[in-house]
Order: sequence, then structure tokens, then C-alpha cells
Amino acid sequence: MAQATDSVDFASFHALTGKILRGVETVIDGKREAVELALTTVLAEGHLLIEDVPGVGKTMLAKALARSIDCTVSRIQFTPDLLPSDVTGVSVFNQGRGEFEFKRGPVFANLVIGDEINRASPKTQSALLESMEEGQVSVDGVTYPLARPFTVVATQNPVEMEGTYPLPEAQRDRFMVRISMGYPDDLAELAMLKRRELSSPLDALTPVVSLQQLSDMIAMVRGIYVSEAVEQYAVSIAQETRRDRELRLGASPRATLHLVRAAKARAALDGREFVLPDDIDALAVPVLGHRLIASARVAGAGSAFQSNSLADIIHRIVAATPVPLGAGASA
Amino acid sequence: MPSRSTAGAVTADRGRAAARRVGVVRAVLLLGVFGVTLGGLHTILEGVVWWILSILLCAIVFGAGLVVRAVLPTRILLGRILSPLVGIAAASLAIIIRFSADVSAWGFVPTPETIERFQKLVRDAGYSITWQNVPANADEPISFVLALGVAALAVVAEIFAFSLRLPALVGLPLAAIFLVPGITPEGATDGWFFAGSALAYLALLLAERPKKFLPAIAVGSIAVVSGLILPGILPSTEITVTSSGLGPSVSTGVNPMIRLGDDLREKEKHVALTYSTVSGVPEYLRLVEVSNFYSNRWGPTQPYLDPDNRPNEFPRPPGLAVDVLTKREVTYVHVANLLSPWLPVPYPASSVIGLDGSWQYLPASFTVASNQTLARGQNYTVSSMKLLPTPEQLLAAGTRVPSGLSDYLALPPDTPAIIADTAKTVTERARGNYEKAIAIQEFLRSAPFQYSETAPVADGYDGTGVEYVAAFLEQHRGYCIHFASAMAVMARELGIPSRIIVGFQPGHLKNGDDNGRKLFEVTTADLHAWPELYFSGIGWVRFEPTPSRGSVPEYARQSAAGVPPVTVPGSDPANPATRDTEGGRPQLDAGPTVARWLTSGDSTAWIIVGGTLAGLIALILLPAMMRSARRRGRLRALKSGSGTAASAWHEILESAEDIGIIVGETLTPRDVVARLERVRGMSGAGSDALARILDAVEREEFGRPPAVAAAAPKPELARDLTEVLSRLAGSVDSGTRMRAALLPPSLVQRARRVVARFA
Repeated sequence: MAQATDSVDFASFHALTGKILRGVETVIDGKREAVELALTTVLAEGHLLIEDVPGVGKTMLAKALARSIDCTVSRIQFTPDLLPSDVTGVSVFNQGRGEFEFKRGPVFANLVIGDEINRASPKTQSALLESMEEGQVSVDGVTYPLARPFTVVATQNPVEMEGTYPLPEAQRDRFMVRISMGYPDDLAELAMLKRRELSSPLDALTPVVSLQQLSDMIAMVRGIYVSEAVEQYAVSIAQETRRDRELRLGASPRATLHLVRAAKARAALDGREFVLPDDIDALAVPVLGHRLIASARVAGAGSAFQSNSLADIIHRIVAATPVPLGAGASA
Repeated sequence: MPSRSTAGAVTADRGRAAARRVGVVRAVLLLGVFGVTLGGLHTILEGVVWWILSILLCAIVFGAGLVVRAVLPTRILLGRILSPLVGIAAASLAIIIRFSADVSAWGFVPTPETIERFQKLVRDAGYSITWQNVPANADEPISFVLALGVAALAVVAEIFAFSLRLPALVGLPLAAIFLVPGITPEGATDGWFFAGSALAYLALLLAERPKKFLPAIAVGSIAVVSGLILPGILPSTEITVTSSGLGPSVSTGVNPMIRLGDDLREKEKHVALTYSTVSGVPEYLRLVEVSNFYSNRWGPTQPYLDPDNRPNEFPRPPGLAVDVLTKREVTYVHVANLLSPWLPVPYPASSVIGLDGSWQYLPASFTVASNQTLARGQNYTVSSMKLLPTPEQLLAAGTRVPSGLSDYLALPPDTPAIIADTAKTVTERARGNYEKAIAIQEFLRSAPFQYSETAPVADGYDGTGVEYVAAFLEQHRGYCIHFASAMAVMARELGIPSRIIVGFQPGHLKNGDDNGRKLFEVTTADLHAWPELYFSGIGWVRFEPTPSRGSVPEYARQSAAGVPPVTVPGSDPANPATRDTEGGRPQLDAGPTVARWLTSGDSTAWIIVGGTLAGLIALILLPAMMRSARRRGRLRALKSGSGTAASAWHEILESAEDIGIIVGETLTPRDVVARLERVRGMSGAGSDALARILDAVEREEFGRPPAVAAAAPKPELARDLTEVLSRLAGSVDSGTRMRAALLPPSLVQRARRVVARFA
């Protein structure tokens, strides 16, 4: 894998990512930042959680991303009565052959879209989330590896909406990035109306990247250089979240790992072969926001959109963490 | 990156506001005010070392405040509370290191011994202050008390000026400093320093409140005027003491010789003591023995007081043989307001009873002293033996001098020859020490010698050095100090052990009586000095060379039977010199000022003032020099290839900080560039140069390390850096530029970082 960087150079990487972004943006209007973050997550081999009120294009974003890449895609609509086997697959008895046969569930795809994941029972949720973390599924004592690359794009409604089972923090932690779509501004909304008068733009979307190209791009992202100083910076921020008095739960070590990996993808998207502290800064809220729990005093403001106050806390922590820079006093 | 943009809009204005909050200008002015005001203490303290120590302490206190406020840029309230506390801690540390490093752990951690040392210093300071005359030598204990006081006042000033933001109230600690000379006996407030300090104080008030000019003037004037008036209306120590019913004070101090002339010239006489004797005969009362030369001046030895030498029983007087006739005398002494650590007692006492406090006699001189209490208000009874040696006995002493008296024969090496010559001429025909002593006494008591309290002052030989003795022998006019020291020095030249005693001549009969005994009153006008000479087998014997003062003892009187007659060339015993009454009191009390000091023709004064000025200028320029050396070093390193992009980057950060752009260490290089690009004039080439430096520093700091470390010279980086720096400097007005050059805040930040690294 270390040599994989050779197969995709910066120029073609840039061209391919440009194509994906442009394609997705024909579907999602005026949400450049969200689209970039989604792509960053895919390139960093992470899983994406899109959280927002219904109807702002969560699923559309996931679908558009899936369409742009020529890979296997499956979609699971999570409902309260969904069973774990509906996700992972099930062993059925093949009478012809006289043995049990594993019927693969929708999780066996490169891109799995989990719609309204918080409407399923915790049991079903955890079935998906375990496969996310381990990259494999075990049924009846047999382990089946999942496809590579493997990315789950889950959407969820704000937790206090009716009929939801909030994701426990342990499971939120498995998502690399959480984004909020937010409402489009009036111009973007107007453009959307016009574009959809005749047909869905989603239909016009064709794959621009092959599975092999995606794998090469992911490999290139892995090869992006992270200096010790930047690693130290990420660790400092994580440590600070654990110490902060306004936070009940700080960032996990996995969060730090995700932060650095996402920063690599962001650096690559920016055309750089090394990570800057600025990458860490920019990704602190999307990567850490859904994992932290504010202490009661802060959370009181509004639990669903506590992300606002959490974002403020993260901003404050990031702004207070010194950027490691060589002394430069002498040679 | 919303997190950065929230901290965004920073302008030079905010930087200046930050500098104002830290209060650099105010602290420097405050230091100046204290410097001038403390300088005013020169009327009561000798030398400049105490001043330097005091000003250093002030600098430490105010500097600590600056550092605290610089370190806590966002916590203004906490800074206000912390800065005086840190100032106290820093000053305490400095005081511990200065005064007790040897008994403190690691030189600065107080131990029980440190506390003991401090207690001792405070106690000793009490003695030192009583034992010394103004201007006093700022010895260790006095320096310690001064340091404590100055540190306390500096902290008070710090609280007023910064914590409470009421700089006008700084006048209070300043007034406290001014009160010190005012309440010190004989201390004088130096008008020049007062005026200078008042001006500096007004400058402090005006410096930061140009808009509130009138209120500042009003507040300042009130403070200045109260500073002038307060010392006048506050009760001075003298008045306080008077309230005990003892009358105005008379202070002597450890070296009464220095003050004796002043006391004699004082028109107003103060009662020092009253006494009565059983026999009704008045007596000389001795205070202190002056027998040593310090360099070439007479001075008393700092006495060693042995607690066992309690004056209720004296030993036999030194050198007194049994065959000398003595007459027992009992003297009842009632001391008035005599601020003296020495007790007036007749010679030779055999016991002193009825004393309050701890007193000890000194076995060599038979003087009585205390290092814990003063003579004032004491009522005591002295038993003494009046020595009545016969001329025969004195003659019999011949020229023999017992061993162990070499201290009483010592003379400074540069004693002018005229003294020895005169002594030899005068005693040409005398045989033995007795005849020589009589000859010298008569020589000094005769014309052309005249008693004058003013002539030596007017002619500049009013002092106790041997050169003044020589001048006196040429000018023939002087008062008791001159006569006594002339006789003592001449006696030593002839090999006769001698010493000077300072005390009181017998005084005057007073109306009223003391339990039926005649009462004598002794005033400041009776302060006197006389020589004592040592004769083998008899001991110390008093002589009276001063014409018109005191009384000549029986054994030294020309008219008495058996006393050898002397004929001094040109002398006329029938016409003793009379007291010089012409001429007014010389204008002496103006007190030394720097101007007088400088015009005294003493080149060391110029060297000290010049050196101090040069040192001050160097001190002021020091931050600028440090900052500039750093910048030049970085540019040089970049040109030679040893410099890093990070060093260029830090130079930009510090330069921005210097002109008041806040670029904290929590900003990424890109954040900083985004901020600097908003600076006026940072466009085009400047912006490009900035971008190139940013790229270089990012590659160097965060990029993949190159396989081979390339130490190539980076002249283009140096050029870019110069470009960016000039744009930065060009973005602010010349005033800010000047302040940035002289007092670069980045130095403070840097010091802070260094401290943080070790903390």
C-alpha cells in the first residue's frame, strides 16, 4: 500500500476529486462545505453521519456521493421493526444442497446508506455499527469480510423528534465526521426548484471515479505526511477536551485518530502533501462535535442543537491551544 | 475557520490599548518619581548605595506588576489583584537574597535563621538610628529597614496606580518618604528634590490623562501642597518627646564630635541635664571617648558592650596607683531630653545606680553606654573618685609609658609635619611628659589662639581630621574640638598617650536646690571636648587647652604651687584669648544639594553622576539593543544559510507584537498571515513576500523532512523578511514605532515563554 501513492499523482487526484465535487453539487445546491466534508470522509475511510431535520437533502447527498463513484451501493431504511439480520444478512437452509447458506445483507457494499438510523432499535443499530468498526460480519460463527473500501453514510433526525432511539455515545464515536446540512439560502433554494421542475438531477449523475481509482486515492491520502508537531497539536486539543469544565465527555483516542486521518484527506484535497494545523482546526468541529457531551449547565440550552454550544466550546478550545512552531531562535 | 476569525479584527489601536493596560509608561514614570523622591533622603543618609538598592526594589515591584499584567492579558481583574501580590513576593525574594542569602536555603528560601537575621537587623537598625547622626551611614541594618519601607511604599504605589487606577493617590506614599527627613532630628527636606519629585509626580498624572488636564492639576496640586505642609504640621519626634516634660531634645549620636560645633553655634540653648553633688563642687561629665583615627579623622570606636560590665560596680581606674590622692564624690544626675546612647558621668566613676534599662561601662574609657535605651529621662546617682594627683607625682611619671597603650599613640601616616614641629618647639625646654603637657596646654590657651565657634567654619577647617588640626595651628582660631584635638595630636607626636573626651563642661548654678544640694544646669551650650593624657602611675588625667571654657584642673594650673612655669614664645598669659563674638552665624544649614555637591570641586561627584546617567541611559536602551541584536542575528543567519524559516517567522511575529498587533501563539501561520494582510501597506510585494515566508515556514515546520538536510543560504527569505518588516513598521505612526523600538513588548512575551518553559 505504501507504493500506492505512485499510481495516482496530485494532478489526477485533483482532477478526480474536482469531478466528484462538481457532480455532487449539481444535486446539492449551495452546500460546498458539507459536500467537501463528505468526500473527505470517504477518502479517509471514515463513516459519515449526516444529522438534520427531514427534507434538507441528507439522503440526496448520500445518494449523489454514491452515484458519483462506480461502486456497489446499498441503502437501508431504518425502521423500528428492522432486525439485525436485515442489515447483516441471514443464514438460510438450502434444501437442495442440504446445508445452511449465508444470504448477504445490504451491509455488503462499498457504500452503505443508512437512512434515519436512529429510528431503528438499538439492537439493529449496533449490528451495523459493529460491522462498521470491524469491517466484517460474523453470522453463525462464520466471519464474512466486508467490501473494500467501505463507507457508511448514515442520516439521522434530531434526537428529540418522535420515534427515535438516540445513538449511544459509543456508537456515535464510530462515525468519523458528523455534518449538519442546514437549510439552503434563498438563492440556492430557488435554483433547486428550477432544476427539479422537469426531472431529478440525481438521474443525470453518472459515475466519474472507478472503484480502483477510489482505492488509489484512498491510498494516496494515507501517504500524506503528518509532522510530529501537528500530531502533538491534535493530541493537545483532544487532551484539552478531556480537561475542559464545560464538557462532561471529552474526545476519545479514536477521535484523535479520526481527526488526523480526516486532516490528511483535507490536506490532499487542498493539494498539499502534508497536514497543517489549519486542517486540524477546520475539522475539529465536524470530527469532534458529535462525540463530546456538554456538562449539564451548557447542555440545558437545547439538547438537540447543543451542537451549537458544543461548537462554541470546541472553537474556544482550539483557539486556546498553542500551535506548535519551532523555536527558530537560532539555527 | 470560524474559530480564528472570531478573534479577528485586531488593529494597532488594540495593541496600544494593550500596552496601556499593561502600563509600561506609567510604571516607568512611577519609577522616576520614586527615584527622585528617594533621592531627597540624601539629607539624612550618606552615599548612594542605599539609593540604588531602593530604586532596584521599586523597579522589581513595578516590573513584577508589568509582567503579571502582560502574562494575564485577558484577566484584567485577576491581574490587578495579583500584581501587587507578585510585587510583594518579588521584593521579599530580593530582600532575602540581599540580606540573608548566607542563612537561607539555596540563598533565597527563608529559614528560621533568616527570620532571626531579620529580627536582629530590625533591632540593630533601632540602635544604629539612635547611635548615628545625620547624615547617617546607611549600614546593613538601616539599609534593611529602608528596603522594607521602600518595598512597602512601592507596593502601595503599585496598588494605587494600577490596581485601583488612582495614580493621584501615589502622592501619599511619596509624602511618606518626604516625612522621613522632616521627622528625623536635624534632618532637612531638600527643596530641589522636593520640586523635582513634585514635577515628576505631575508628569505621572498628566502622562495618561491628557483629557483630564484640569482635574489632574487640581489633584496633583493638592497632593503636592499637602506634601509640603504635612511635614510641618505633623508632630515631629522632638515635640513628641517634649511632651514627656523633659524639654527640647538634644541628640548626640555615636560621634558627638561632628555635631558639637552645630550645637554650640545653636543660639537657642536646650537643657541637657541637671545635677547636684554632695560637695557642692561642679563637675565635668563625660559622654564618650574619641581616641581612634578612621583614615585621618578622629572617631569613637564602635563600642563592644559586655553585658557583664554593669555599671553598679566599676573596676579600679586604669593606671591609678594607690598613692594618688582621691576624693570621694557623689553626683545626682537628672537627664532631660538628651537623645544619647552615652550616659553623662564624671571620671572616674566607681558605681552608677538607679538606671533604667540595660547600661554597660566600657573598661578602657570608663564611659557608660547602652544599645537599647537612651539617656533621656534617667535619674541616677554616681559615686566617683576625684583624682587629686600632685605635681610631684605627675613629674615623677617622667616619660615612661606602660605597654598596651599603643592605640592611644597612633597617628595617621599623613599627619602634617607642622603639628610635630609645633609640638617640639613648644616643649623645647620641658622635661618629662607632665611639663610637656603643661607647655602645650598653655601654648594653646595663650594668644594668638582665640576661641571662635565660627572661624573654622568660615575658613573651611571645621572638622576632626589631622589636616584641620594643622590648619587650626596656622589660623589660631577654633573651638573646643580644635583645641582638644590639637593637644591630643601634639601629645601623641611627643609620645604621650592621649584621647579626646566629649561631654559637658560643668554648667551653671541654677536657682533652686536638689534635696538641699546646689543644683547645676547643663545646656547644649555646655557641650565640650577636652583631652585626657596618660601618666604612668596616675592614669588618665584631664587637661583644658580651650581658652574661656571649662576650668583648668588644679595640677595643670600655672598659678598653683608646684606646677612648673612655662614660657611660650609670643604668649601672654595675662591676656587669655576671648570668645569670638563677631560675625553672624554662617549659612551652613542649607544642606547639601546635588548642585553644591557638584560644585564642591570633587571630581568623584562628576564621575558618579556621569556614571549614573550613562548607566541609566544604557538601562533605558537595553531592551532596544536586545531586540535589535536579535533581529540582526536572525537576518544574518538567514543570509548565511544557518537560519530557519521558523526564525524568520518568529521575527515577524515579534515585530507585529512590538507594534501592537496581537498574534498569539494559538494562531496558525495562516491565521497570522490573514491578520497581517489587513495591515495598512501590506499589499503587492509585501503580501507576496509574506506568502513566500508562510510557504517556507509551513514546509519547514509541517512538511515531510527532506532526505538531505539542505543548509543553503536563504537570501531571498532574508529579503522577504526585510520587506515584510518594513511594511509592518510603515503601518504605524512614528510614536508607536519609537515605543516599539525602545520598549518592545515581544521581549516581555519572550521572557514569559522562557519562564513558562521552566515553570
